Amino acid sequence: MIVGVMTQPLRVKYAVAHLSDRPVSARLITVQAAKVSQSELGDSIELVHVDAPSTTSVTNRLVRGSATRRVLGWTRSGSHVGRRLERLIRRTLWRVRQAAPPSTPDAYTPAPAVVAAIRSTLEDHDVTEIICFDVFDLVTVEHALANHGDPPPVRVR
Amino acid sequence: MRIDVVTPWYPDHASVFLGVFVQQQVTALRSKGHNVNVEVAQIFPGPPGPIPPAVYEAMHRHAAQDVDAVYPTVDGATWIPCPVPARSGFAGRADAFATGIAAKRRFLPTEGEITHAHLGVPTAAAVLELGDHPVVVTEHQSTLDFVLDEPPARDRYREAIEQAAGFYVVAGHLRDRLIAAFGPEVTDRIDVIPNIVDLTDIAFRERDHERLDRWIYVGAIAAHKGTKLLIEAFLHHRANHNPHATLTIVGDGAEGRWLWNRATEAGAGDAIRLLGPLPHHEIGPHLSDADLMVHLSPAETFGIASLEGLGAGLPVISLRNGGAEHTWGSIESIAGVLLDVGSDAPAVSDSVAELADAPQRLDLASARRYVEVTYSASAVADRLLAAYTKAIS
Repeated sequence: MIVGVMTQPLRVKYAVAHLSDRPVSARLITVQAAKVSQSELGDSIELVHVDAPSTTSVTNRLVRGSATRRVLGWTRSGSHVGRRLERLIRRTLWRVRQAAPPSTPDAYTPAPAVVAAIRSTLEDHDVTEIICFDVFDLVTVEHALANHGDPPPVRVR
Repeated sequence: MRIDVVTPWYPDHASVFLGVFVQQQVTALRSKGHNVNVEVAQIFPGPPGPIPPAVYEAMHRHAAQDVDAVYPTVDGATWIPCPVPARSGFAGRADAFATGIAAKRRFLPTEGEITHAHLGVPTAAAVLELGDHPVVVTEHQSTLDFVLDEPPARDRYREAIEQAAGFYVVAGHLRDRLIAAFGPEVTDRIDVIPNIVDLTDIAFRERDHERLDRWIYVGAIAAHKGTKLLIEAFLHHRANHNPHATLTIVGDGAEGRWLWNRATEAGAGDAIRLLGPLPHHEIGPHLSDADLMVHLSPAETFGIASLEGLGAGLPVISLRNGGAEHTWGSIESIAGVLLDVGSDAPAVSDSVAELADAPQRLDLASARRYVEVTYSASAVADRLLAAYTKAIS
């Protein structure tokens, strides 16, 4: 079995494309923020949703916001006013963000639920490979593999 | 010649269209016997604030055991994961690219005589930071205005223009934009080398152009591509000029469902075919079956799809979106119609009807020859090689 770990929605299409190509069974461990449906994955890929924050929760909110999409849809639809408005919004947001000190989220701490899901998969299945679809998940996977006698190869894709 | 190409966009199994034009350049240069190594800097967005060293340390540990585990190479292109803090802007991306590329090169060094960076910021700014010299840059990003709106990114961009051994854009309007941003002193530093338009799998078909029933559009279904205007113009045309008109769309995107619902509501669901994204070699037959390409994107850096349409013998209706008037505006009289940005659906629809009423002016065979001569892989590769040679010397 191949285990995929994916904790942000921007990587969904990579996970689907990569795992769907494989002839062997796969389990994709993912979090609520990285919404992916079983219908996207096909029958050979088992989807395991765990309750854990996404590493990139801030980014996710921006990407998923339907309001953001609507605004961008209008500003980029060809109107000069729209284009200028988007540039103004972006400039303003950029200045606000530069003025605000960066938050220091605890997002890089390996999520216990993801670690537990990886470990239980390792115990119950013959795992031949672990694929991280977000480079930030490497730390989590390393944590899960600590003290594991014969760890499978880990790849970033 | 040994050439290192660094790009944020390159096709892979999940994104078959991403950076196809970069891949076409690489293929053209290789076909002329040159050794081209590709590095694809891949953005992995993280939370705001510095990326913790633990992330890089984990990457390095795994790369040390198996370099392909972190830096996979497919067909001479190596993907480089670059963690990028949220809110760090385009300059932050440049820093992240520099860190990521430097880390990769510790495991997989490059041996190019020259580096070709795609995009001024983040890519050229990153490789210039690494001390890569000489660096030739190609700019073709549609978000250039947003880059220039961020003061640190703008500063990095100016440095990239000043430090690069050659700075090129894919169409003249991007050069105009950079001159407007940085002043006339950069005029002599920026030249144009266009993208490749690959007509290998696109056959030319002679048409009489008196019937423009079968419209085709190739590209993303998204607001910034003007697909709402496309569907409204198509519906107007069916209602007012030609009830037999059909529309084939090759591509997908966020507005696909809206587009389908709109067409269905208007009773034109049967007249629209949504084919989804297709590999480049499968698009040719659909172009061959069409009578007319309609491409209403309000902004294009280059606009390959319209040129491929001309190559297939299709007249093209397009907006003056930047790319279109610079790439085929000089042959508009024989190739189609360019409308002002802001044209409404009736204006587009009427222009199709006017074209069908007076097709004698069209000469698509000559238009295809123009595309072949100007944008062929061989011609563009020769211009790139001349740019590299000039930069090295």
